[in-house]
Amino acid sequence: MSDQTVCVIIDGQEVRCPAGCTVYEAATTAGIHIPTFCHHPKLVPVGACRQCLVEVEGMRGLQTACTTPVRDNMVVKVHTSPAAVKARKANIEFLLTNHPLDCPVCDKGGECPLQNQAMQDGPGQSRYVEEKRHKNKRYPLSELIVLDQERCVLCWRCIRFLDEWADDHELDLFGRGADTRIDTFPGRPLRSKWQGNTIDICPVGALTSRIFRFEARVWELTNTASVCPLCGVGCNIVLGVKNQKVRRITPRENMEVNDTWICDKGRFAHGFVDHPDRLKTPLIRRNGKLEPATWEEALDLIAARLNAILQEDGPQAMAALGSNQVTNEANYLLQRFMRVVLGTNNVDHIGRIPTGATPLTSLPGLEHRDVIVLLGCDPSTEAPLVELWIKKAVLRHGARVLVANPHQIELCRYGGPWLGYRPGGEVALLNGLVRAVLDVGAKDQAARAANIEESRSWLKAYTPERVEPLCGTPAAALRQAAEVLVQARRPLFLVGPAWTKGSGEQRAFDALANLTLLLNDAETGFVAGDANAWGALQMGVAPHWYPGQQPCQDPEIRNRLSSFWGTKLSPVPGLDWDGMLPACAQGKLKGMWIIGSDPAHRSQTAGEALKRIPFLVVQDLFMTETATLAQVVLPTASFAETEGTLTNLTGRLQMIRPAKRPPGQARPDWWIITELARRMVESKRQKSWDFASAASVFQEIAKVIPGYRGLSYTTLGEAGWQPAPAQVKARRHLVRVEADPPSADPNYPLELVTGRLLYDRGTLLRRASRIQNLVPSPYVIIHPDTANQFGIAHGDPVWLISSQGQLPFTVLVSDEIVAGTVFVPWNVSDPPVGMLVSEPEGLTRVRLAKQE
Amino acid sequence: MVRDAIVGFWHILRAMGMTLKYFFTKPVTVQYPEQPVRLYPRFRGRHELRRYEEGPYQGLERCIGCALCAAYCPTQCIYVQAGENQDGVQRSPGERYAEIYEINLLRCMFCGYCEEACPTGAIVLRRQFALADYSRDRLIYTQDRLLTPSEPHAIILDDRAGSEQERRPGVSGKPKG
Ligand code: SF4
Ligand code: SF4
Ligand code: SF4
Ligand code: SF4
Ligand code: FES
Repeated sequence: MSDQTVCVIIDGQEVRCPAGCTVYEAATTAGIHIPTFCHHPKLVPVGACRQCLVEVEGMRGLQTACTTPVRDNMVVKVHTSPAAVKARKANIEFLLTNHPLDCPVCDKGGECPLQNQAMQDGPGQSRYVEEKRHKNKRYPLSELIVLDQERCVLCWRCIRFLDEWADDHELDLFGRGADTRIDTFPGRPLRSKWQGNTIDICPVGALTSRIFRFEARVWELTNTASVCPLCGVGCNIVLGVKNQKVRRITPRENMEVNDTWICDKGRFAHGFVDHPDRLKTPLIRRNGKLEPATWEEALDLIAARLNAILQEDGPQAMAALGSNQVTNEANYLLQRFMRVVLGTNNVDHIGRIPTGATPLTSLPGLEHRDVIVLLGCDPSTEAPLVELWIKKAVLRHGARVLVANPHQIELCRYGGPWLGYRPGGEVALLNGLVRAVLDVGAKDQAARAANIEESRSWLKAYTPERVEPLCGTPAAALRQAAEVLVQARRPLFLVGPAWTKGSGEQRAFDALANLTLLLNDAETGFVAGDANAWGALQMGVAPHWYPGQQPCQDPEIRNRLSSFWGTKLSPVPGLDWDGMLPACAQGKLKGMWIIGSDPAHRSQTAGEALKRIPFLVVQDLFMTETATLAQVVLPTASFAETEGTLTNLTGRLQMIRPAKRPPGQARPDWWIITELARRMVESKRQKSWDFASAASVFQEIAKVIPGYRGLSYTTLGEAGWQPAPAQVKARRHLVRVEADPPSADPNYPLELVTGRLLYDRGTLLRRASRIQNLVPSPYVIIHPDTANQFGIAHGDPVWLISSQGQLPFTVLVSDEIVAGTVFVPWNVSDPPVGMLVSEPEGLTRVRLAKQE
Repeated sequence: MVRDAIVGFWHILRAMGMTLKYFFTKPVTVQYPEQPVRLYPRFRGRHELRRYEEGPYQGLERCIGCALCAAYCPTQCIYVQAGENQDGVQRSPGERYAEIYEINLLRCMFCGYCEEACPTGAIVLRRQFALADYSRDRLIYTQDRLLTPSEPHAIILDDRAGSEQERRPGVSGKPKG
């Protein structure tokens, strides 16, 4: 679209609009309403429904406003042309002739564009008395969506959305003439993870949700603006609640986050909120059994026991785990409690974002990156909306997507190249790329590094051919990738949590910085998979960081916070999660408080260690494996029941709001922590724990974190608040990072790679009924070479054996994985694959054995 | 003072006279349930959820759980939760039925709007008026009770026939304002 403007006259009104826009858009800017069905502002117009007919002077017949581009001095008549008005009325009547009288039983009823327009322009009575046309009703397209072909007005919006945005060509028109209908291809139900969006954009009740089906009439819902808690994107959503139950989730437009879309997990997996398994009262272990108790009893007991531990073993005998899934307010208060009331820095959370990572600067900005490199990161499963933005970059601007991952992920479909590597080979792979970029790009690239001459000597060892045995990546793929990178104008590197596991944070990021230094305008962003990963870090739920990532070791900051919080903060360095585990095992930790995470489920080592803690308090939604080990279990409010903020993967602060009451006695995290603190501090300091609401906690957060000054729930509003991107100091020097030799262990010759699936059997999703039917049965993917080596065939049942234990799986043999590694999805098998992993979580080596 | 006493006494006498007069007229009250009550045909008593009595849907519930009655009800005393008919267990024609249907009769004002809103003629206000009960909970009528018809002991009047006098025996003349 050029920036020229033209002038058109619509219904006598002069309208200025950019040249190249459509009559419909021009009218909309002038506030003139033109009815439409097939037109959707986010989709390419097709002109399929004829509802938008208008008269254009000088053009024969009536024109479709949604497809007709404006010309200068065009004269358009919308409501002033009797012919157009009549045609639009006729069109409505025409659409209604075969439309079934389903409004009373149709889930779209009440928010249905066809209903509204029939009320507005419709004939009121049908002249058509013959039998209506019959097609399929109650026709499931997938586990999640049901189609009613009789209601469909053939607007193609659903097809176009899947084609233009999701790039999943799974719906199409079949038949012809009066028999035309929407359908999937034979035997292939909808599989797209974006299918739920077609429900929203369908202008009639043809596509409806099988989860919301008949749950409520839309006018019965109370709608609360909130944020999806299921991944790091933090899509803006609306919770529709009827009778204290979340009935549906729909997206809310936020152009900085999710446009108008959400993934099917965020939309359909809310079943956990109202699941009967939710913890409803505090539980206290009496005679070895967890029994219901009141809040008074539970909190008094915790306060007494913590005080006793404080007396006997001192503050360092206690630790707490926050969570990257609960609100900032909860995390902030937890670390405040540990540091101020108990006097220890032993606070951390699992899945902490690696040091050196920086948040992605902008989600919509992804669209304008011409090369996107995914390093150990699978947006399709970890942060689906990122995938949608990447697809936009690919489909609309031809971006390239390079994928460095041990196995092929969905985004490999755009031609990669796929740089398969063995975990632990990250540094080798990057060094190989650096070397290849220097080889391919010659002078331009080299000139960017100040110390290029010295560096060439250590880089000599990393020719693609030499790198191949180190990390398993084919030399040809490396060269191909280097060529793409050299030509990139604005490459973006997306780093996933898996990337730093094998080689360590420092080395992985240093090696990456070497590569980005050589390229044009490169940016690195970390893709956090959990809803509040940045938030947990920002709130200081880390042993070495106070809120705002202010180092605990800095005496000046410590003094400042000491006077702010009114207590002397401990200078003793705290234990991180990796340090807590051995401390538990050695019996050094006497008390522990875990909020919103389930370490016992993640690894056997953790489960064993936690068993040795004399006093364990777990605060969660469900009876998790960790909760079964606890002395006291506290029921907490879910995201739909509490107020608070979450920080998404671009560092954006967004609010969640209570849409319903928590079940039973469950309480918000901030209330629980505050109540406990008030029981433990002496009376004159009670005032400092005077939080009356999550909002007052946030007020304090805004005072403590330097960058948040002046923020409040009011300023966050519905759209959230985006911090200015962090200034990353540009490096001029290549840093020498040497690759590890490939590890070898004859007993366990294979490297275990785990990864998320979009739908799994995790604590929350396990309670989302229909979603569970989409979770595959436990499988392991192995390379054909591995299959030969172990004499195993596709579909065989096998044991996967590590030094920690063994689990049964079904084998899938595929060359979409690097030889020497096996892939197992997280949270699918029961017992969990964590059983094979030993913490601190680095790499796990395994072998295979055929089941007898 | 004395005047006030006399006027007061006169009023008492007049009222007593009125009372006395009714000793000699026919009573308006009836000995219900021994004696029938006379009701107008359009009398609106407690609701009933109807079933199809004949035709292809015979025996099925008319209610499709659309909640239009609940939407229209001015006192918001109807609660509907719809369910989906499963193959083989059809409770109503089509895809949808009412899984929960409750009316809080304590709040209902018997306006009959629900009946007017219903697209299938499922909810109707019938003649049962004897609703007294021992607990409030019992007055939240559940679906099974609403589906059970119940008739009062009554004589239904023809509201077009006869004079006011005939239709309302026992009431003499126009009520005084
Ligand atoms: S199913 Fe809905 S969105 Fe798709 S063509 Fe029909 S009416 Fe349009
Ligand atoms: S992309 Fe993430 S945040 Fe958005 S709806 Fe899906 S799970 Fe929720
Ligand atoms: S009679 Fe009136 S008040 Fe009573 S349930 Fe029906 S609509 Fe509501
Ligand atoms: S009684 Fe009638 S209006 Fe009410 S839910 Fe049933 S069908 Fe709908
Ligand atoms: S909206 Fe223009 S043809 Fe459908």
